[in-house]
Amino acid sequence: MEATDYVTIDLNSLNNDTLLPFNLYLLNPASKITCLFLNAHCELDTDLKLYLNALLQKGAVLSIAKSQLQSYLDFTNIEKEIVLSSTAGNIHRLDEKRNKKSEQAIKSDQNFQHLFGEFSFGSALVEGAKNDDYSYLYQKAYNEIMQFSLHYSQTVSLAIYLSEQLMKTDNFINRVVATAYFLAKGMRVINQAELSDIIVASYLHHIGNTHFPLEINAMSQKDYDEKQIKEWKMHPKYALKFIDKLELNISPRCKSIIEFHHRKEDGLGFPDWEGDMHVDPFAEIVGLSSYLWEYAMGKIDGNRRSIKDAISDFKLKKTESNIDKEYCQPLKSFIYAIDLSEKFEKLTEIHTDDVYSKRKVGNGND
Amino acid sequence: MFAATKTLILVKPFSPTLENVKLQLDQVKKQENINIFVVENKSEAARFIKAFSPILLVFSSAKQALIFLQSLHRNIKTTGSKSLLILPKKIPEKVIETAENFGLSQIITEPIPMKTISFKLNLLLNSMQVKNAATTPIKKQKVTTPLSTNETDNVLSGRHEKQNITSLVKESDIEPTTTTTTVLHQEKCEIENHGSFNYKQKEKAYREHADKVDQNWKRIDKTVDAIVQRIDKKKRVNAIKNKNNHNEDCIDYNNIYSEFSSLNAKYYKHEIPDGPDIAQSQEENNLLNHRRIIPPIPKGLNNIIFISYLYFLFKNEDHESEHNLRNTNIILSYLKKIIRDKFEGETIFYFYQKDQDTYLCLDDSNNKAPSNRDGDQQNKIIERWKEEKIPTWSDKHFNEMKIDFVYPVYEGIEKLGFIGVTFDWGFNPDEQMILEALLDTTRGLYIQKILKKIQSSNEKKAA
Repeated sequence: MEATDYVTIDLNSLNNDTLLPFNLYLLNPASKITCLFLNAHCELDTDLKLYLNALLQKGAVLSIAKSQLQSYLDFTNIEKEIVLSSTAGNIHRLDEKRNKKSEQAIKSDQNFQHLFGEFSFGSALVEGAKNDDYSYLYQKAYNEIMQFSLHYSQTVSLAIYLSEQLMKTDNFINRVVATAYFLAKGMRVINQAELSDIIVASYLHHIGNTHFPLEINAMSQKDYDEKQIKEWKMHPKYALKFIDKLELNISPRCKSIIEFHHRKEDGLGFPDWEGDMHVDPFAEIVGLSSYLWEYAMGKIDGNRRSIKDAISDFKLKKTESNIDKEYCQPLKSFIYAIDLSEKFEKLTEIHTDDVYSKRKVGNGND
Repeated sequence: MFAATKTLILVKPFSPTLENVKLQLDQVKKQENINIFVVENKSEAARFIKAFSPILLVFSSAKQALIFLQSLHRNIKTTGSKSLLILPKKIPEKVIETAENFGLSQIITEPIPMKTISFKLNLLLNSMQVKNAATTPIKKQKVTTPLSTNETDNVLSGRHEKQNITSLVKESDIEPTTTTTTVLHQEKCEIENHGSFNYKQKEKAYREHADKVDQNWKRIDKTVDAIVQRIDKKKRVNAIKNKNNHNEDCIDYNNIYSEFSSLNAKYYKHEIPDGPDIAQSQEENNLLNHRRIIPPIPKGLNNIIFISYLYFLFKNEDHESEHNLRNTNIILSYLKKIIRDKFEGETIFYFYQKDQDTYLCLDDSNNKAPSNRDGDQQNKIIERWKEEKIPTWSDKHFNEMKIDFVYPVYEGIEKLGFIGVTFDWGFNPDEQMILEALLDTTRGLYIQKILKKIQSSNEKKAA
């Protein structure tokens, strides 16, 4: 039998059952040789499972014969299309769709490069601030996310799905997601799983605001009472409530980013400090990007401004609110630690030029 | 005697006996080498545990003890700290049980003489230090070989090492040496570096993790031989038992292992962060395709995110201004549209008005009853809906085609209204939670429209 006569399967799909109605094979992806591992109706005991895990960790691929596929499908209740998607010859319809999308994304990326030159995060922000239109920013992020793989985990495929559905217009949420994405990339995070943790978390971290009355959503944070502050601080918990209710299968790291996106390494922020727990730097990234845009929108002190002015204010320690009083200081050091710091400095240089200061009145104040 | 100081933390509020205890302790503080702190917040207590572990926590109210122990019980367990509760009154046994589950070490109920309290305090303090002295030599070894812990709990092992260092420093009070000072200095540097985040640290952590995986793999290499021997033994015994089954293939597990030992290490090293990188070669992509596809299961998340965006569009005006009223209508009609498209159901939102004891419907079509039911049924359904207090279905087994669902909205005891949905073509019970989560997004509107009115009217009455 050749390698195409086997279908690769997932060990988790066996649900810890010990007696299986089909043979188990192991495939060597380098040499494409298969060998029998366990006969049907023989017990897969703990010793064998340890041994199997050791081999799988090394890179072996668990598979079954194609002639026994039907008994596997009956045993596990998984769709046939999904199981066959892992074999070499078959392509799932979702994969086909995604391949088309990624081709489109690469083409549009090339067009952008032709028009604007090579992409840099700082210049994209500057150009966006001219007309209060940041479509280049989120479009670039969209093009890169469309090239992710659907074969990894639920979080990665969710990140692809959400950005496919929602990254169509230039609004507050898409701006936050795009800035979080590029800040992470500036930190040289290139792993798809980690990036999609950030994407999904930055989409979900504020859905708790659907439980607030209109005042808290519309007022600036400067004017909150103590009661309103207390209520506002509940929003990470409300977001987690939604996730638990829907029984979403997202990664635990993504959940921790959502829960702690308002907490700092030195113990400031909320929810409460619990002894030794280490704060994830990704949580700080999501917190920073949402805080930047909220500050630009005027959610924090009531004045609307462009993102350029927001960043320069950030550097001059002008930002203050009654909730996160010492919020900016640790974040500022965080900005400088990232590679992008040079571009941010360039941005402030441009800001001091006369050309931009004349236009400043029209930017973002409408 | 132990020269090291003991730390004792008293948690507010104090009962009169605890105040007495504190007065007496203040007199003997210097002779017995005891540090005494008074604490109100649990966050403060957490910092003390970190700095002076092990410690003794003393409470005089059961409620406060439960609040503290609920969040700190892990720290208390790992550091070997203890806790004592001095109760002025008798309380139900259930409360005591829950407190003991969270690791409360002793409870004293009054009336009780002062001597016994001091005796028990002494006993607890001494027991902590005896334990500490006995365990330290083992901990020292652990610090020298930090990678000897299990593969799975790498995060936990990091915690233990830190605590071990602090315990070592405590011992140094007895015999001060040069090495301990360097340990202290290192710890300080670590804390300072945490303030500003560096990518280098992250890279370092990655590398350490990769090395750990390498070491684990070496360990597996050793243990595999043992496992294979065990499996072979079992097989031989089974073969002797079932002599008739000679036709069955005999699997040589040693041979399998030798076949896969040639595989490169990079395949499993890639799984450290569990995911591929952005720019990969085609070979690695082909390898990836051996995993099966994972179709996204969004469960209506994209709709919920869009609704949360609509909430941002409210303006800071009166909630019945033109813009805000339009926005509320947009949210409600958007929800209606989604439920019609996804589940083929019709929704009506009822807002309860307490002054007139009536229900108000905000709609563009002015429908006060489900339009896909007959006239007699409409009144019956609505009356049934008004009495429900939890989300309920008209048919629990989802067998009928014409089925309806109520989602009452409450805030505490106050009733704010309810949402009714009627279906003509049945409902899939697996999607029950998706519907509830979608309807849950209207909570902000209900609080704004109804609860604020009730609160303001209550304030007027009180005035």
